[in-house]
Amino acid sequence: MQAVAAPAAFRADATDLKFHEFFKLPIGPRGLEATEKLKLLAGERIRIVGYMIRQDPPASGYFVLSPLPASIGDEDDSLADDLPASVVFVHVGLHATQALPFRPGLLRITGMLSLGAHEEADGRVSSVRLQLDPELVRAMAAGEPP
Amino acid sequence: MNHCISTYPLRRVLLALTLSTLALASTAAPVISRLTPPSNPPSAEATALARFLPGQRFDLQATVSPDAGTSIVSFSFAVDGASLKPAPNNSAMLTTGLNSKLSDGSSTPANTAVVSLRAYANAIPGMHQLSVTALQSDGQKATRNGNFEVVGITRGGKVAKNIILLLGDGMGAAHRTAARIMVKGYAQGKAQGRLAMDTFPYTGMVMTASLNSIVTDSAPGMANYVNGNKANNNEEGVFPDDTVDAFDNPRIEYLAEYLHRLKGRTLGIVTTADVFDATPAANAVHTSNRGNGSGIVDQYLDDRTLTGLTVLMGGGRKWFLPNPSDKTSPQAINGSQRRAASDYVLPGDIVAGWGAAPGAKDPGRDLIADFTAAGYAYVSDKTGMDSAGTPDKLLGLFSYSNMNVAFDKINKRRGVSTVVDEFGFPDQPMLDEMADKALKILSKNSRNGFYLMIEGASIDKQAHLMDSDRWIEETIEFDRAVKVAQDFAAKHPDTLVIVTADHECAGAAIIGAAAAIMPPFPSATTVATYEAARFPKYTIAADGYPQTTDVPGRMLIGYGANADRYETWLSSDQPTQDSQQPFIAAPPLSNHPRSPTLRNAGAGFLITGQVPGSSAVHTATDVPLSAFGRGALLFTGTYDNTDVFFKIGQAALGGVR
Repeated sequence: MQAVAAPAAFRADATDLKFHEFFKLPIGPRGLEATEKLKLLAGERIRIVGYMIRQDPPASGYFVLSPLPASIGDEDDSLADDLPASVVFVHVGLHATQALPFRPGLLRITGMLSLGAHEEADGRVSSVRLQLDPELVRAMAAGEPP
Repeated sequence: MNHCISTYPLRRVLLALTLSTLALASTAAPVISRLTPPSNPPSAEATALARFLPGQRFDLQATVSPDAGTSIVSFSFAVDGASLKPAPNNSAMLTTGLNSKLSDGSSTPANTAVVSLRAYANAIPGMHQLSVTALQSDGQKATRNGNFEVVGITRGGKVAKNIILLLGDGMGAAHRTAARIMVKGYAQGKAQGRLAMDTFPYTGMVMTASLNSIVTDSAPGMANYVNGNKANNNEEGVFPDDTVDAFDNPRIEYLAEYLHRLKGRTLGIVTTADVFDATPAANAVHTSNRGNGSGIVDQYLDDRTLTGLTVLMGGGRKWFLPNPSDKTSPQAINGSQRRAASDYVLPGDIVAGWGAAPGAKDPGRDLIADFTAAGYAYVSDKTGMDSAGTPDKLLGLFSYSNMNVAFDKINKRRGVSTVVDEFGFPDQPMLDEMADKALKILSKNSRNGFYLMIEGASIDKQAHLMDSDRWIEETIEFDRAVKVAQDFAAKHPDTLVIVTADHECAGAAIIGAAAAIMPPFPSATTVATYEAARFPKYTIAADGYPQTTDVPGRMLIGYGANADRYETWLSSDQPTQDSQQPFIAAPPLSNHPRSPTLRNAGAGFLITGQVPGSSAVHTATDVPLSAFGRGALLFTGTYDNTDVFFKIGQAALGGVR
């Protein structure tokens, strides 16, 4: 697959992580169960490839990266969504008040992984988060081409 | 002239003084800005706005603003001129936690009070006058008048003991027609078979407006059918109010609660959506915010004595997993979506008046464990559901949020798609399989009868996405569940089956067929209209679904309520197509023959939308309703969705001859 990468993104010190490595699959009768690999990478820099979820209106401060394209936020659906369980909430910076523009296509991004239940500003509870590397935040905010 | 001048000004002064005294008197009184239930203005020709079955419970409420420097000291409601004496603890006055603005948009004055009398009921058919009187601390009073109607029931007929309501979310006439064309086929102008819903003998047209718009959403879209009253968009089982709390709104007793209380009937809810979603919730839970997931799912369990909930099946497991606070370390990573802010705690007057559970903000609650402790068998996939037998009560949670759609579930079963696996729930049941299990459990355990709601939820969700293949196959799946209900009713003649929709979605229209034999055809000029459309022919596999939807001369769908989209006139491998998605070749693809160069050609041509945003929207178009079984003959004509509640009430309690 041809992945679209933001420029100057590759850190040598990032571990590759795939969505299907997040949780034991298939999901058991109760909740999600994090894999050992996911738990070990908490607090580490990882590199992951996925699609930016189209969110209408866009959430401020984060976007969701998913193994499959999807869209959320239709007025009639709210939190009854069609997202896979293994998604990552990509935080774009403490002072970000504006949303990054929606970007179609596969993205390869890097950042610091954090785990655990966390309430986002818009009421969603995320389990897996990525603090996007600052140079990627700048590049994506500027809409720089791949 | 002098005498004229001398008397005229004096009379004017006296008149002015009198007027100003009257003016002072008329402002020195509380202002009642809202009286609930709401009434139509006296001059309206429309029927009574608020209507109830005999003995159906509902809350009375008013918003009263006192003059500056005073407060409201007492209030009383009266019906037909007689003051109501509240039962212990079911009446309250609230002066904190109010919205900052009143219903007319003005700022809420200081000391405004929301006064309530909970769980009132009236058994006498006919129009009733409602009034509220409020007394302010300086002795001034104000009164506001309204009305409501109790709709009587004609007794002595054969009663429908079981009610099955199948709701195709967003399913208008075009959705039904497209499903018929795809799965039954046409030749020489005649359908070569009928959908199960086509064979129902009685059909009507339903007006779907909400309390505040011609275009509704799924919350009032469901609630209006099952409590007989209009609701605002986003609100379920309640009238609007002026408090911030979303769970304290004035309630209207649901059909399930009413039948359980009066007749001991039980409740089943089956959906392909996340079970917290508006359509399932608006059968059992009262809230002005359809997004309050934690409180909604908690109340399914906590108020089972009010609703008689016996079967609950669908998606939405994320609401049932404990989310202990950040005080816990290490943090849970179980995917729970629970949070205190979307949970419920009820005020004392609702608890006392309705016998409702008080609730608690408990995101750390293990709701699955609480369901099983309360005697519900729990199943998490189709294999578990099949092997569960017929327990007394059943909770089935088959996915994290919404279940996958029929198109993807069937392709998983055929071994040609891994979408369902990527979502992590590879073994999800089809809606007809869920309906079959629900009916077995309800009929075994419900000597007094039951009310079952079955929702085909993603007809709407996929129509929003303008994914024609997926919503048509959702409708096919829904019709297979209709057949299950119809077969049940044929064996149990005291059953009423209703097939309807909450609203139409996307302005879907069957505009013709594909002109070219096979792709590539990426433009509007390749739509074959009129006689060139002929009869699209799909081969149906043994599982009941098309072998493929990408057939030569396939049916093409246009959208009247569309957002921008890129149209390829072809099915997508995945539920949402990314405009830059590379071609994904996942052998075997014998069911989806397609040229690899097409997908890389930019995913179709742009069709500009008529609405903002990225999704198609609901429309105000009437929707067809089809009825079968006992009492079905009541459902002919064109009527309001609230009228359906009273027809069901007549069938369920008074019967038909």
